[in-house]
Amino acid sequence: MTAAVLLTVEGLVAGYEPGVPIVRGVSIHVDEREIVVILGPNGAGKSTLVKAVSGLVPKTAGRVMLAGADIAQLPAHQMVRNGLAFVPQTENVFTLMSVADNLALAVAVLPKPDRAPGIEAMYDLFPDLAVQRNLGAGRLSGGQRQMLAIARALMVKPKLLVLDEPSAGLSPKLVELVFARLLAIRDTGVTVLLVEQNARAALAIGDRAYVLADGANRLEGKSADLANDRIMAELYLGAGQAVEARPP
Amino acid sequence: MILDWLTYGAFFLVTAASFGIMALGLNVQWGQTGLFNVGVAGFAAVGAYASALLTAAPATGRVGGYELPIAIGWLGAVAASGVVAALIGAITLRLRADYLAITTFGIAIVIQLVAVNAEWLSGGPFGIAFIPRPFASLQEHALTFNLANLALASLVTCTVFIGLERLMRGPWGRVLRAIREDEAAAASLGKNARLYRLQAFVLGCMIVGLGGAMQAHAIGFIAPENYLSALTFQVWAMLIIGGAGNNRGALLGALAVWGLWSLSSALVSMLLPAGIQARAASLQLVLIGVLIATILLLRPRGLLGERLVVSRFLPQRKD
Amino acid sequence: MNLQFVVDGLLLGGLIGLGAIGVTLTYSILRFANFAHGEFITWGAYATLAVTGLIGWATGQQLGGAGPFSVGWTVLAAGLVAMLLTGLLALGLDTLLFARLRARGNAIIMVMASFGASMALRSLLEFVFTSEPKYFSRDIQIAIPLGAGVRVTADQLLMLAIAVVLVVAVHLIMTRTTIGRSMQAVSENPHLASVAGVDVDAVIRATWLAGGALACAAGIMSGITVQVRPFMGFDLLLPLFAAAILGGIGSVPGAMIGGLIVGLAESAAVPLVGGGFRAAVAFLLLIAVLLVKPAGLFGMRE
Repeated sequence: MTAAVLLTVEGLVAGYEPGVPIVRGVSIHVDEREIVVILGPNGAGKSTLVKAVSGLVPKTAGRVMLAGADIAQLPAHQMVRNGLAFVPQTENVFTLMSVADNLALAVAVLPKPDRAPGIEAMYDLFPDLAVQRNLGAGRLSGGQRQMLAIARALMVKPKLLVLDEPSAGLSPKLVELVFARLLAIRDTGVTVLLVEQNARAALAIGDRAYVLADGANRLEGKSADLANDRIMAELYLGAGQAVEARPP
Repeated sequence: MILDWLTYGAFFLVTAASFGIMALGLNVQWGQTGLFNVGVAGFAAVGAYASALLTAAPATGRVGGYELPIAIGWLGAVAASGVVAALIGAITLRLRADYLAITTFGIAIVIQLVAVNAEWLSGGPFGIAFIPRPFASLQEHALTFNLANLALASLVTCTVFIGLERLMRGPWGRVLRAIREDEAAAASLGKNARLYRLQAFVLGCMIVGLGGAMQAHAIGFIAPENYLSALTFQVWAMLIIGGAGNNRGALLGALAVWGLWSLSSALVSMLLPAGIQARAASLQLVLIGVLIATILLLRPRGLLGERLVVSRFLPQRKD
Repeated sequence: MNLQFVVDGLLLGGLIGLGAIGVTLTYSILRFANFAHGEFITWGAYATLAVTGLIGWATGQQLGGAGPFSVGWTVLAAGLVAMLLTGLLALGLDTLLFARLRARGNAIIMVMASFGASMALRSLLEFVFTSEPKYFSRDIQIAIPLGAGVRVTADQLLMLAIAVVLVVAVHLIMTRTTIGRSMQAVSENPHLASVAGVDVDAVIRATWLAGGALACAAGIMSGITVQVRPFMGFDLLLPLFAAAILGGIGSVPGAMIGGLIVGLAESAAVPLVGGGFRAAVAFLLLIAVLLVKPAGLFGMRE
């Protein structure tokens, strides 16, 4: 059974300032129930790409379609109502609010009867958060914060979950945990698009990957193929971009 | 008749010059360093009262009255405003820009309160009268007197202007502008940003104090009600309309706004019946407020705004 | 010791707190110190006077007090209308002025513009109403002795009660409703808030409406217990900022507690330093906070 295409991005040009595009004509697509990874060296425009898709960075050209609907003109806050939930890399939880309030805020986009069950479902999925539901989110550990950030996005039952470097600042053990979680999330029917620096770990869970460089497509293919690709090795190992300890 | 106009014109320019000097002082703080001083009236008051107390005749129940020469008075004004500025600056310059605004706003209110209530210090609500005017011996001949004062005011203004221009184009000015544009970058250059801002703040307040003293001696008497927020407002309007960051703009703005103000006041007293003149004065303030807001919206650089950024290579600051 | 200052201090503190809540909300969500906030207080008081007059004229009713209070139901009804109008004034000022400057991203220019707007708004009121003080009622209020040398008027008790109700309502809204949580979210991180589905522009509009309405309430309190004059709000600006900063920018309970502290301190100081120096008390408190703990009592940032 062929999977339907969920997200289509064609010729996207985007950047923080009008005359200075960081993403220069990138095209990707993500099928339903896939895990697709965006890789590339620093400054390649990976973060900017997913932020533009999520409505946080202005786009000057190109198409973005989600489940057949054009979402290119949608403001960021409408994305969650249209099936796209974004998890930023840093500052991705409200540290001044409690865990419970973070979730209550997120679930407000759902109709009232679905809210309480939605929150309970998250507590079932993330028992650590249930235990600390009244704690200020700023007091959570790095790994728990990341879980909260993901839970916040999952609350709205998105079709597409977009994450910007979910492994950033986490120990290798936590990275394993987060990625295992993402696999489980995919298995519940959510499509996942993630940007990663940690190429090895990402390719291990991704079905397909795109490699960007200088704001444009450079490589794409199934993870297994890319893992053995010579150009990849150059981009990542030759330039010393292999798995590195990144400061939190 | 022509003589009357010339006399009035000279007096008008003297007052404009004193405002111009205040605007120049404010420009050191805002235009060059990005500090928002909402307490201009307070520092003008400190300068005015310091000079008045040093130069006027003694009065019962009040300190001062040393009848010293005017030049001493003006030096005292500069020193006093400098001291007050140093105290306030030391406390608040390490905080965010809007906390400086609130604090300077507060200091001006307190200074005005002291001026109204501490009769032993300031003469209370009636203020200080008989402040000696420069070239007092010439007062009989109105035109000569005013022209002499104009010459003095022009001299002082030019001196301050030239002094500031040289300072701004020199290394100190460059550091100030770098700090204004991007404090992180400036700090990494090894300059103690806070010390430079303190210097700019104190220097600016000293110049404002000088302007306040000049006004006091031009008019001959001062009272606490001269130093309400309306004065701060007028000087800010002058700087914004003329062009912040630009010393010529500060002087031009002072001339333009004082001209507008005097003209509208004259029209009000000529055309409107006495009963509603006080209310018309409020309209003047409304117009100036609207003018400030409009200029900030449409042409924030004012009439002669600073065209140079610190360097074309530094990225624009996104706040 | 004469405890009268406690009553006066609570009343003054209550109205400073109401205004400070508006200041702290706009400061933390809009991210600039709004010098025009005092004028919302003044406009609120004058608007209430005007609407009261209108109601009286339209219904032909005598506008006496109701029961022990010097003001009747018409004033309270007018007050509600005026709160809406003042909220709209605040929103209008944002649309005309602040929103456009916000797009440029320079916070200090907004403070400057607010300073200019405050001058214009205040002088406009002075032009229309003159600087003569106005009163809601000429009835002389009898002070009720409460013991320990303390006397209070029925008006003062009513104003205090209304302030308490408003503050509790605001606190409940901020902590238990979606709009309240959205405001907290925007105040901490507007980008994350949008990503979580919050319409930041709608929150900003709600903030202005709420800030204006609360300022109006403070103006009515001050107008009824003292008088209405063009400088009433401006003279409260320094205590408002002191209270908001003392309580911690962004904290609604902090703003109220800060307001009470400032009010009590001012009232306690009057017998010591004389009425002329009341405003200096607020300033000294402000300096003390900035020296010791700039983040304030409940502030968590900076």
